[in-house]
Amino acid sequence: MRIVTPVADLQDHLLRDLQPLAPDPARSTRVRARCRAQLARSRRRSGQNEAVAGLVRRLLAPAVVLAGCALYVASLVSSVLRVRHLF
Amino acid sequence: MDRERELQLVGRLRADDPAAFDAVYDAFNARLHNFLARLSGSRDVAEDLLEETWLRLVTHGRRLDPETRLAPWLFAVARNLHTSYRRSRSVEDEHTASLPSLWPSGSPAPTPLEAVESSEAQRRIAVALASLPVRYREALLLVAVEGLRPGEAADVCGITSEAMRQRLCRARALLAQRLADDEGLQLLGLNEVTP
Repeated sequence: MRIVTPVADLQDHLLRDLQPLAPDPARSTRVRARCRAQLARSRRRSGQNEAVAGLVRRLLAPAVVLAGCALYVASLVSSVLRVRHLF
Repeated sequence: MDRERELQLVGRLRADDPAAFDAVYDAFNARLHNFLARLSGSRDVAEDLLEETWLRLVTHGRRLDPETRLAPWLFAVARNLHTSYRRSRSVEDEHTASLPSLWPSGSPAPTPLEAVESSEAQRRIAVALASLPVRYREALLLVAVEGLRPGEAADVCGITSEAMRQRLCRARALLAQRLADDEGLQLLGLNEVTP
């Protein structure tokens, strides 16, 4: 008895068994190193950006709030003095 | 690579984790090279496009969607780079077509790719595959060689799943025809199996 195997299956089998064309190891090493260097640069850059953002959050924002409060208090004192005709 | 590990790697790639990059590189470098070499027919071109593919991953890693499937994403980048390369080459070829006398004429010598094929059956299927139009070649490479699902291959090529199924059907028919023309299947007795 002869069994006819679908050609598509045989094709896929042959294609799967094709010898893989391996990349050049030396160049692969260079590419990996180049990509890692780029990743390191990107990490450094994003680290710097986060540091700046952290500084803004920790120092600049409270400073702006304090300055606002100081202005408000100064204006309040000035108003009180004006009302009492002291200034 | 299971889905859970893939999602984990994508998350770490979004944070520029070099170890995650290494893991993805180890998993896909050989596959991408094989795909590009068979698609372009040139190891040198494949190496150049492969390098560019990895640089794209590194550059766009932070913008990856957390749900990204790595295989379709990487093969799509590689495939698009190859398409751009072919476009630029066709422009070059238009310019150089007017200078035929500068190039040797006659039948082309076997390419290094052909020389690598270890067995006669592999050589025949590789030659038949290389002779297919690019759209059919890439469909077969993605599904039959790289093991992507037809839906994923459709995403890579930017077409619908139904269009990919039709393209695969035509590609297989054309490949069978090329092999028959070459008497590959008949000589090897691969179209019929006798138990």
